[in-house]
Amino acid sequence: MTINASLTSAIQLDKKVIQDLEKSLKEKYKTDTVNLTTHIDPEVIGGVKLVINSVEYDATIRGKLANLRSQLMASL
Amino acid sequence: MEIQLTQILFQAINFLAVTGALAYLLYKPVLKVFDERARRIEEGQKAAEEALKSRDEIDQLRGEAQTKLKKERSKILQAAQEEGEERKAQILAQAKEQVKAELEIMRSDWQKEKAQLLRDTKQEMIEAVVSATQSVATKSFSSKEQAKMAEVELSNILKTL
Repeated sequence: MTINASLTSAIQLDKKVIQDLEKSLKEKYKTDTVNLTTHIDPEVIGGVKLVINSVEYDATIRGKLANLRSQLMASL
Repeated sequence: MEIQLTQILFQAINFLAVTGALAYLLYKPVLKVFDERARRIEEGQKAAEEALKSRDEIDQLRGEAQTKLKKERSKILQAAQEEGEERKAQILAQAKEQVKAELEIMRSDWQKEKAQLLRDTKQEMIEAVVSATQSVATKSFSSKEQAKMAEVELSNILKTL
């Protein structure tokens, strides 16, 4: 089973961090193949966004602000 | 002067004859004329009395008619006033209802507009706050802080997997 993952952050992350991520993903999904691509996007402001096999985990400041905005709008 | 009995007798007979003739020829027509005159006077009086009586009756009838007319007029006036008052009350009630309904619509519209305005204002405030926070956050983090933040968030994500 191959894991396709995409990591987006505001700055270039340390190689060790990326390697640790790959290792963790292999352990979590019990696989030897993880295709991890990294992206730099200053628009995310801070934090990271990880997409694993089309499932998105958004922990960026931009995403949190968008979430906060949606919650505030929904409360009106 | 010598009194002659024959002459006196003749005169008396002559007088009686003339008197009889006159009585016979004139008394009845004169009497008839008098009777006729008296009858006409009596008829005139009767007619005058009748006329007076008729005038009194007419006056009485006129008075009664005027009284009846006054009563009718008074009744009509009263009915008109009552109808007028009733109509006035109806118009007033209708006007009040219309004003009340219009006020209700205006109040409802105003409430909607107020609510919409409040929503718009809140939305604008939220947009402004989010935008300002985003703007401040973009400039606030150093590279080191960015790296640390990324590591922490990545760790949190991995915990949820």
